[in-house]
Amino acid sequence: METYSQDHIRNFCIIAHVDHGKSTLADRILELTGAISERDMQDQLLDTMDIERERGITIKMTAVRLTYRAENGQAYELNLIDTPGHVDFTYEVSRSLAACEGAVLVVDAAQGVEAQTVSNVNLAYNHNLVIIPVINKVDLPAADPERTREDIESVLAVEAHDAVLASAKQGLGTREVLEQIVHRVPPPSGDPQAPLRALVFDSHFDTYLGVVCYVRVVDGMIRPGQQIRFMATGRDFEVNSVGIFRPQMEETESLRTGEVGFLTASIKKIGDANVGDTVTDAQRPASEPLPGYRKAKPMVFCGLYPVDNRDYPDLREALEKLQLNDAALSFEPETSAALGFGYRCGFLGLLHMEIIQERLEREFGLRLIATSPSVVFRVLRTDGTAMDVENPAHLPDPSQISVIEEPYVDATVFVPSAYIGAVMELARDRRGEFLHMEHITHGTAVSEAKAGSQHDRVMLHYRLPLAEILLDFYDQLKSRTRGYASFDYEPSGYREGKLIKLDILVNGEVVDALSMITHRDKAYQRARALVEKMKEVVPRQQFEVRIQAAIGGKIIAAESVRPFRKNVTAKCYGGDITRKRKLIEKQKEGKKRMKQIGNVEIPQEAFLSVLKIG
Amino acid sequence: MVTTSAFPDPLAIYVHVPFCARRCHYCDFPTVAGSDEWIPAYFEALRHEITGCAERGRPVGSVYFGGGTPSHVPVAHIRNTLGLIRDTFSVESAAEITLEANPASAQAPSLAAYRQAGINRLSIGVQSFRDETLRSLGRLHSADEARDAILEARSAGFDNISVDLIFGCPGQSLEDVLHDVAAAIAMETEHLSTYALTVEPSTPLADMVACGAAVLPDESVTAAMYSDIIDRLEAAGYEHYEVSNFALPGYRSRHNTAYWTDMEYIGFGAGSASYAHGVRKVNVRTPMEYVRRYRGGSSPVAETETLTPTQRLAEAIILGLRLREGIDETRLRNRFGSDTLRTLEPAFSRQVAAGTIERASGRLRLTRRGLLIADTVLADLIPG
Repeated sequence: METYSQDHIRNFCIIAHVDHGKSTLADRILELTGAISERDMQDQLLDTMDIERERGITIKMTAVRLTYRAENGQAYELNLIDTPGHVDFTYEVSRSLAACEGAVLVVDAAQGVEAQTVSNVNLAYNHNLVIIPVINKVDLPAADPERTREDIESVLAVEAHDAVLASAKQGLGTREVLEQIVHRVPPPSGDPQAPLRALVFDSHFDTYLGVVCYVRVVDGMIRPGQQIRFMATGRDFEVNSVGIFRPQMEETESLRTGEVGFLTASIKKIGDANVGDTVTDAQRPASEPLPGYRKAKPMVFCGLYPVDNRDYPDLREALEKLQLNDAALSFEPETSAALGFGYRCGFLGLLHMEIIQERLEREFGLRLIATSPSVVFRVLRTDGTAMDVENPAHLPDPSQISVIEEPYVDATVFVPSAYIGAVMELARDRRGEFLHMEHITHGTAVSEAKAGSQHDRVMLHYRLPLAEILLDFYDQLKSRTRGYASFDYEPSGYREGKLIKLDILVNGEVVDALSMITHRDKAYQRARALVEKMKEVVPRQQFEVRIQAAIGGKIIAAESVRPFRKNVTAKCYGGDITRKRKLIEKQKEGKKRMKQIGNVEIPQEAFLSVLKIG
Repeated sequence: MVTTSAFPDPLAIYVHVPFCARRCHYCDFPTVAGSDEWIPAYFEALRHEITGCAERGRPVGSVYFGGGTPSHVPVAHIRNTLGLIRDTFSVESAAEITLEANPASAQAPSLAAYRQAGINRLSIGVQSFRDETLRSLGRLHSADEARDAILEARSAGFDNISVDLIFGCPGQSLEDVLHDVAAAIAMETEHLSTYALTVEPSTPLADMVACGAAVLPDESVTAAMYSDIIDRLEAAGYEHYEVSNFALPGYRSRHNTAYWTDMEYIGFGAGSASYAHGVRKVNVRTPMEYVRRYRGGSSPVAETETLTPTQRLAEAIILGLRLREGIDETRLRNRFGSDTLRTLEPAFSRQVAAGTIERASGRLRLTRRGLLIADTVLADLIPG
């Protein structure tokens, strides 16, 4: 294949809020450059996992090499690096941005700038990327390109005079986007003579190849046979192959300065090739790694237990397999008096958690009980020692606790001004501390005419306990603002809180897996909501089921599920027999999905009830 | 001479007669009302199915005309069909031959004709001895007509009569039910079936319940009804031998018992089920489709199910425990193997501990408490 001089390489990514059309634009670019000839492939080719496509979000990134003959008659090598589009994956986004010189910013002409757009643009700025604004979906009746242009300039401080007006769906504006990439995004600036430095911005595990690292070569070059070193872990490997994605994997002789591609080196564990690490030449190592490495740190934990304890080894195997592809997933064995043997798993955020659970059930056929998610609390004990508590059941006795600290986040909410009250109420209810608010106003007559309407928007800044966001904060925010609010957050350290442990008892026994740590002032409200929710989800059974909530042995709320008084099919003759048997078999199947605690059967949903009671 | 044991077990034969004068509010059986012009064609199709039966020539211990309303069609159809069954199979001389009759259509002349045709057991769909309850169910007859039907059946010479009752009807109280039971006992019929009203989806009753036009008794009330019915009937000398069935000694339904004891049976007509050689077949549900299949020369069978050993075991447990005498554990073990039975032991012990089943003299049976919630208990006990 032809090679391009360094000044004819352009590395870029596409950033956008969910649903603003990132993947569709990527598809159009792939088509126009001939990377895919026809739309015979599935929509949104870059998202390769089923769950991503179903949820319309990008979880794993891919990097595609494209060849583009520009209007100036010259051919360019373009590397499109896809980025995940969710707040859980901010660090991953930052690494893929670090592999680029430019970012195409897609903004929906009808929706305007959203909270996630702001955080993505900030990230792009931090990496000194040239930002190419694209106002997408201009074909929609509700599109307001002019206002969107103003939004981009006033909210994001991005020059939008030359913003491309596009409809990725209709293929409008795609060529102009490519032209701007060629002319505005600078070529990579690395030194081909310097010792190798390549940034690992993603990786995946392949059964035959081992870990496939997605790298951006910053200085020097990589070729097969080379001894390389991962600078953060210090592990050395010999490169088996290097290559690119077009979008299928294609081996090349080398990856040169400024290029993006993959390398394989019989790496068995994804933890040996962490995202953000720097690859260098083991014989001629670089003196400094590339900046910005940090180990993925789980923010949210939950217990995962097989419904059937015999599936425990299968769960371990499945988690190990998923971890091959996901360095951010952590797990450690734990036991629960109620649920038996399972794993305490750590995730980047709620979405990450849901995805992993879904994959375990769908791809590995496991039936799981997930306990309610928890943040990591820091407990200072009276004896002066400190401990991290990832599982509410492990909180020490109150007499041994001096201080409990919980993680906070700085949250940004974008919302039409009509909903300020609703957002403030929700944030107050969730122990949020108001930081400040910015009005987004427009100077033109058109916008003034809309002032005071839903088009007049504000950006609210709050400091919130992360634990409060784990409850249904986002759902509440959406429903209280009729879907108009967008939301983003980043961690902002630990603070002391008046926190206590709330226990749930089923027929008098504490179900450790249902324990939660909550703020003292909200304990009663939570307890009541929780027992009521449990009453809804626990089906009637042979015995009465008493559900109680307690703080330190004192019952503060209780409900009960009435037992069956009568449940017997009246008629069972010839033709009824099959139907009757199938009915009872189905009932049996339903029971299998439940966890037996004492003589009570608790369905999976019950363990997530805590999530629904915000 | 060959001994009877050289023959296979006798078959039970069911004949479905789907025609009714009117459909009741709760009915979801394969029945039709106001389609009497189909009756001759239907019986012609039945005739074809009977003569073509693969089990021809086998001994038959019982014949059951169910519906629908068998008493709604001209007696000749019943007589001819029964005659054909006698010609096709080897119906035992002491066979139990039942016909379901509706009080509205079972009058003296036809009752005598049934008797002559060889029907020796009548099952009368009384449902209630209160007019209010009968109206709430959409029944065509009155309580008095029900009593008359029973008395006329006696006069016609029937000495084995069964009465159906339904409890848990809209607006029905516990007292209403006990009144019905007392009235039934007073009629001194040999057999009684008492069915808890089941609201099946897509029935007029389901709509009435959904819109509040019919209000069903609370579950705790129907539980008390059921329990009291059992007590009253047992006190009156009836044996409670299956969830919904009671009989004076010697009068258990031989036909229905065949369903519950893994005997083979053959069903003829729309929606009927057959079970032979481990295979269960169910015919198409609608009478019109049944006739069309016959005319088109295709089989009336809509579903065929070859039971796996696990399914057979599940049915043995479900049907066995629904019988009040319960399951003979030794027989069950001989049939399905000790290893299989051992896997069920935890659930058995669990339910014994919960007081829903009991073990005595080698049998496993539901306690009264277990009987009331049998479906829940059975779901725990079946394999899988």
